[in-house]
Amino acid sequence: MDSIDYQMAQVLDIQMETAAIKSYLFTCVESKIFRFSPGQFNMIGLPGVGEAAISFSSLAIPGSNQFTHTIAGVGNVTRFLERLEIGRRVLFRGPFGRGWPIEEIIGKDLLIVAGGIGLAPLRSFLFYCLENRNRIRDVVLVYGARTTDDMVFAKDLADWQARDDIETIYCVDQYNKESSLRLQVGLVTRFLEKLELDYRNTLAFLCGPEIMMRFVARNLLFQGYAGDQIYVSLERRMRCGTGHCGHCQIGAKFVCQDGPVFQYSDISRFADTLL
Amino acid sequence: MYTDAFLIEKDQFSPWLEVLHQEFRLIGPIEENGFYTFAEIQSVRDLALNYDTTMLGPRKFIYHPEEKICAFRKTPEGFEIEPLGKAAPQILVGVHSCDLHAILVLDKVFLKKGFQDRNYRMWREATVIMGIHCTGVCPNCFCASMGTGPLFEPKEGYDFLLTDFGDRYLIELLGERAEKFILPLKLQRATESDFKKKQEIGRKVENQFKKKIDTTHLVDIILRNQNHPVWKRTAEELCLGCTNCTMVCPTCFCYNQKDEIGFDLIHYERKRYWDSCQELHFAQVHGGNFRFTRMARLRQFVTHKLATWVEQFGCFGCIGCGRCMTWCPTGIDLTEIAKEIMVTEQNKTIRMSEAQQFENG
Repeated sequence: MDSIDYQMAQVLDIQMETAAIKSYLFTCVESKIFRFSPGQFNMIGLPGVGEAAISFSSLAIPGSNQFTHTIAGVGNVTRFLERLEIGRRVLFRGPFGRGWPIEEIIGKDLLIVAGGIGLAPLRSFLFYCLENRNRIRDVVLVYGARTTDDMVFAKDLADWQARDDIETIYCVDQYNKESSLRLQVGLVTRFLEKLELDYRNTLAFLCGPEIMMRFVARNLLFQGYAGDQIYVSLERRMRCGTGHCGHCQIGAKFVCQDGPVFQYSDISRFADTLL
Repeated sequence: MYTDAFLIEKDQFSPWLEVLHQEFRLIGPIEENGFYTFAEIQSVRDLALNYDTTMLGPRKFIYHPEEKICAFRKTPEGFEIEPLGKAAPQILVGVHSCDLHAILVLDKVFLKKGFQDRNYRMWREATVIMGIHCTGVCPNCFCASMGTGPLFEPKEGYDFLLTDFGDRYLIELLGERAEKFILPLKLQRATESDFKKKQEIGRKVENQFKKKIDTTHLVDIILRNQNHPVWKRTAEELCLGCTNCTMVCPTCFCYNQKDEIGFDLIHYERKRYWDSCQELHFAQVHGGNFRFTRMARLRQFVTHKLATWVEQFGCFGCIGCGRCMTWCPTGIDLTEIAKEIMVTEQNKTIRMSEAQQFENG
């Protein structure tokens, strides 16, 4: 079975993240080992509805065929996915794309900046980093959301904040509700300059609204980071995931095949992005 | 791979095609309402092999305008995936050099290692391709500039290649499949002088081109000028966003998908159909559109064909057939766009050298 072929998966568990966002634990209907790496994605959908590209929000469990997607019901396909119940089937193809550069992080400081549901692909990456904690240096997570209610993965956020081997900065635009997390008010860019990271040995990983990544990347460039030290995960609407349908093209790049994770300098040279 | 070349009399050629027609779907250029078009042929007599150009290339018989890519059946568990059909064997007759190159370009897109498109591969393998060399040029074509004509040079992508010698054809063969078809004919083998004659025809055609484009530094020049005023001006003054250019382009591969549900509400089909980057919806995502302006969409088409394609697939996306400008209702010409950009580049170089002289002097 190739990643390009249609396969079926079943919903095992559903977790509410916010009012509009849920995490689904899937298992392949066909028994097999399903491998993927952080930052990759599946084309997931339903017959009669269509498909959408959704990244993995969990790590692959060795020897298992389970995977998690975190989905906000905002589009034609995701509004249908939102109504899934435990035991129902979905159609999927994958995994597709090039994920986060997990070979590059050894011996580096890591700066992870996420906005809103952009934490989903970075969550699996963070799990990977924490599993290999002794091989990397400092880890800083800056996570921003619109309001306290919009923060996803509340349990993980609390876990990370409680650890002493990862520095966390959580910020919201509007502090609208009491939270057990230590929160600050402001956009993610406000907190970047105060970080005590050596830009010469740091890799930055960005995922969130493209306009957020624009300002974070430019802020980091201004601080002395090189364009190839900054990785961004991009979102485009795609039909195939295999570099055929053309919808996700940015200049010479297919987001589905060459990405979704790009070095900033590699992708910002083309028009039609906000970067 | 097996290659050989023979001479075949035109009296002999049509009956031979008739024989093949019994086994294969025959597709070739026919005249219809004063235009030539690629269509399925009922009788070999309808074939118009001296055609100039068609609106749609033969791409539509390998990469169909709309086709089924997956089928499902509703079951108590939700649904099951159903098997798909097979391709019908077909012969594509009379494909010009530019369109043969276009098929090679599409091969690069759809037959990428590890990510082969099932339907494309199926139809590509079921298709016997018989190319033919042009004996004249069209008003808008510029294949000599793009390195895709007038003679078809690569030794791949075709089974037969014809060159018109008046009363007979030079027929070049490639591959065992071609050998098997030609074996019963017992033809006269082509000689050195026949190939010279073919080169002669090529040279004669080459001198007739009216449209030309210099591709030496084209990629760099276009990529350096993604914000050149020509994009905005052409888009706002001329482009209607009608998508004709991308529909007639023989290398355009973009598609969209839709799901269709049968009247029994049990059977579902997922279909794909040609899509166009000139449509507003093309680069839409949740919360916005990355090519919201007509300028961005026009620039996407032209830069993709003339520049970014090279980085993606190692060749130009433009094969110089001129269809996009022929069928553009306002006659937007991508060679003119490229030339305008080149002029500014030249002016820049002149200004730079003048400034240098001024500094030195």
